[in-house]
Amino acid sequence: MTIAQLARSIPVVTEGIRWTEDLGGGPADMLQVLAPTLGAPDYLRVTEENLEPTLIIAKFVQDASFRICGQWAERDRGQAVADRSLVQHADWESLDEADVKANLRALHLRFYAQAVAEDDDASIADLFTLFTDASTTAVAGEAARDGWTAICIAMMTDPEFILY
Amino acid sequence: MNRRDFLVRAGLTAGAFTLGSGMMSRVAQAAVDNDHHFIFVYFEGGWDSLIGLDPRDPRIFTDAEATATGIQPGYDRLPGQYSRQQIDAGPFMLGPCIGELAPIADRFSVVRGINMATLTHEVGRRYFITGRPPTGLTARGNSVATLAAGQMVADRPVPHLSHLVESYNVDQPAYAAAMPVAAVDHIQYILQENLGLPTNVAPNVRGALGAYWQKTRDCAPQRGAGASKLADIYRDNRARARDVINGTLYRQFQFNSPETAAVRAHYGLGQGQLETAYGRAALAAQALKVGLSRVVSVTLANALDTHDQTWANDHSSRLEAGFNALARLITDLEQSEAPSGGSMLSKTTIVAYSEFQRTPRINERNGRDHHLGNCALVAGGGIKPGVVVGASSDRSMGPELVNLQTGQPDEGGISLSPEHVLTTVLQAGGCDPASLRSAPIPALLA
Repeated sequence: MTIAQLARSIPVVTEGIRWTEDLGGGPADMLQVLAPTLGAPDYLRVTEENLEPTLIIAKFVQDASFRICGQWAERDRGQAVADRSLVQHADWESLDEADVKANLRALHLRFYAQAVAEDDDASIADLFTLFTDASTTAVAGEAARDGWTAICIAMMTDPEFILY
Repeated sequence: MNRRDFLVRAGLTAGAFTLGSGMMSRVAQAAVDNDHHFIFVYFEGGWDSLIGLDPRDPRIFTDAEATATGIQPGYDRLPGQYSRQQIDAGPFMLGPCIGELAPIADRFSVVRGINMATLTHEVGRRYFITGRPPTGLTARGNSVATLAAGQMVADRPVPHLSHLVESYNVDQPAYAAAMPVAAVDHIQYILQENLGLPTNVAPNVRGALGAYWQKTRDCAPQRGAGASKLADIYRDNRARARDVINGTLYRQFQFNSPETAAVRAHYGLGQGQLETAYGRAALAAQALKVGLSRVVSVTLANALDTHDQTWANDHSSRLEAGFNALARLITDLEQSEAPSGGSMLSKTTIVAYSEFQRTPRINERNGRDHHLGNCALVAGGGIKPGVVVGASSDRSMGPELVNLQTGQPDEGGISLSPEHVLTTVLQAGGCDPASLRSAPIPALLA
């Protein structure tokens, strides 16, 4: 997708969270700040965007995911179930396999617009392993947060999301 | 810099001008394994060749004879620190503002009498950037720097880096498009995770992701976007991006650190001098030396468009600073060993150009206007040093016809154009110049 599409897609997935940094003048949308570096068109002399995923684009997508996903997890953890967008099961801290897999299916649909059938564990097997790896190595009390942060980063930096 | 400066300047700078389409064909395009580098050096505004690369003897070309010759060297109008005569640099004569290039004239060659066929800044600039005459003000084709980058393996994190020089990518791979930086020290932040700002991602999360990314890279899906050729490219670039982030490459661009003390000393980078010609030259050399880039486009002089009395003081000092920075760039590369042996200069082809030269006569406002002629400096790998090719006439400095084989003026020869110079540069660096549809200048090729 183009840089503009990426900048618009991320807050759709995260329910409003963008990659912003305060560089001294208040929060700045970093994908806008970096658009020239990333090759986005200015519609003055640049009219068409090259969509090949260069190293620099890959680098800044990771930067974006690292900043956004931690914020998303922290916000989501403090919200009522009905208001959440990252974790759908009632107990946010749950590490129950059924809860986690159901949520991975929901996130698959949210990020990639691809439904994963109830009996299809293979499509989410790698993500489940990632969740487990991140959550079992977390400091006390942060297992779910680290697990879902890792899942968010993995999905946001996946070619299925970036290239769709 | 501070990061606020980054915000403002990155948002204002021109981007890499990617115009093309048909990306899969570009992805599939073969690149050659070429252990070479290029630096394209731009002097912005139209340089004065009489005080630089194409001088005249003021004892012959006097003001009294100006009506007849159409040439006024004007050396007596320059500030006192400059010579009133041409500089005998050994292989050839140079102008009084040539600065530190004079002692190293045996390391480069000069092309004189280039016919730009324009007096318009944008047209001349884009002509010399692309090697093709623009359509109106619109550039045609790729920038030659992009062509060069596209013909080499993308084995550098930023294959083509551009500091304040336009670049155009019509049909080359995405990696060949220039990554623009608006200031010298932006690059150190670009190379750091999240520009060096904290991300608060826990180490265990990073570790888990590292294993996950490795696995998904090795076991790519069989369907969907993730199974595409582009996805493979993305995964490779994602892995290389992590290598850059996890590495220490950015420290080589922290020009205030102990690690770059030698760079500061060579370029004379004191406090607050990073965003000068010297800082830009240091950036260009460092990008090649530490393996960040294969091709660098860089502006070493700005605001040379001096039509009035500012010519004497401002043009001369800006031009000299640009030449000094270029000289230090050349000697830096000469003193640096290439990973594959030999000096970095022997593995780097350099061309310095401006959009045109200034009028050989001084106007009624004590400045110089735009002139159709031009000159260029070429150096480094594949280039024969210490040579002058082409000539401007002794009457109004019109471009002379040239025999390409000998490089000497020849009434049966041809008129030199930017594409001749750029074809030579590409060929000197082992790249295919065919798309420029021009002949090289054999007299310049080593």
